[in-house]
Amino acid sequence: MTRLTQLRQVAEYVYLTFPIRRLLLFALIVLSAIPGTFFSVFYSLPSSIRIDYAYIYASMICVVGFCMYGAYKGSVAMGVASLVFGRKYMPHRYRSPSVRKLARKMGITKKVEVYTTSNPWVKGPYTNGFTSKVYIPVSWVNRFPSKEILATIGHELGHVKTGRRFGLEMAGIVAFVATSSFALGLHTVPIIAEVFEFAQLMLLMTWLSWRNERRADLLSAAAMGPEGLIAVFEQLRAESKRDDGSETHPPLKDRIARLSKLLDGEELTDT
Amino acid sequence: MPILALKFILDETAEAMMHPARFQILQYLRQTKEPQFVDQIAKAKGIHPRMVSHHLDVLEEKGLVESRFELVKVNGSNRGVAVRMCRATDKAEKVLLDIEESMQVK
Repeated sequence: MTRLTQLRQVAEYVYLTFPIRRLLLFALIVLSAIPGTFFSVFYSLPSSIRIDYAYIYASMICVVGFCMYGAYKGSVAMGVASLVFGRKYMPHRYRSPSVRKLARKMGITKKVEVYTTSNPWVKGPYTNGFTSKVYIPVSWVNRFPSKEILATIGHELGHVKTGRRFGLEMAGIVAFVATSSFALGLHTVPIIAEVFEFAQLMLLMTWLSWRNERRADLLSAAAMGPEGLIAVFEQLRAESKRDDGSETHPPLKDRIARLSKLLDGEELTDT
Repeated sequence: MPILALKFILDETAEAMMHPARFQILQYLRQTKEPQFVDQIAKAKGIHPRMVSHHLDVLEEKGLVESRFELVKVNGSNRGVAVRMCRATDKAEKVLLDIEESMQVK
């Protein structure tokens, strides 16, 4: 993939959707990247209403928190609720020879465990990154044909396969962000560097997550053919009101368009 | 809700038809009466032939479509080409009629 395409993907990520929270976050990054912006704004005020550093820091964290709240409230609330209230819904093992065959075809040497759950807090399929277990809601198993469920499992297995690679990339990104914010911290107040670090980390993690989803799509399509995943995405798109993508997943429209290229025999890279 | 609709929900036929493309394909097959092959459906509905094949597999699994392979001479060629000829079953007819009735009740 050319550098230009990678740049286009980054630009796409920033500009594709225009929720207020993302614009605020972007503005915050730009402002915090200019050394002394917040410092001069607050210290040009009369001394009687000068705000302590601690308050500035807390308010900026609140702004970033507010920006990201919309994105993460769903997943965090679901995760906590699933743990607290969903204990009575025991997951059941999804035993299918097709899953084992698929895992073998995808070159996964680990033991693959797929579970179905009727836990109402689990809204879609997900992979536990630590245990490499895949969970699928029973409603999905009932709603989608077996071929499409297998394609979805293929996508989740794609996450299992790229798990270690993803971990290494994450470590690389954290190291990069820490180094760049340290350099910024030498020239400006450390608070700004910290906010910059936080915001930069959030943006890069989202970009990485989008790329990881595309990789998983591609791995599933290579093993099962793209038809199943496209059909699932089309149905989900028809059922949902908005398709802007999220902090973790690219828009369904884009994922369908990308997979559709495979229908005509076009080759795609995994980045 | 008509009794038939409830039956189709229970045997997961309704779920198979929730996909917009599958519904379109089934309606097209019902309207044409004559068996159609994959490329004909793809051209008529503007769906990729591979996706049409996928949807036909699902519909066939649920007993809504019947298909068989036939030799057909395409574009005036002398040699026959094996194509998958599909037609809607009686069950599909019942399901679609039932959906129409349900919509009229609303």
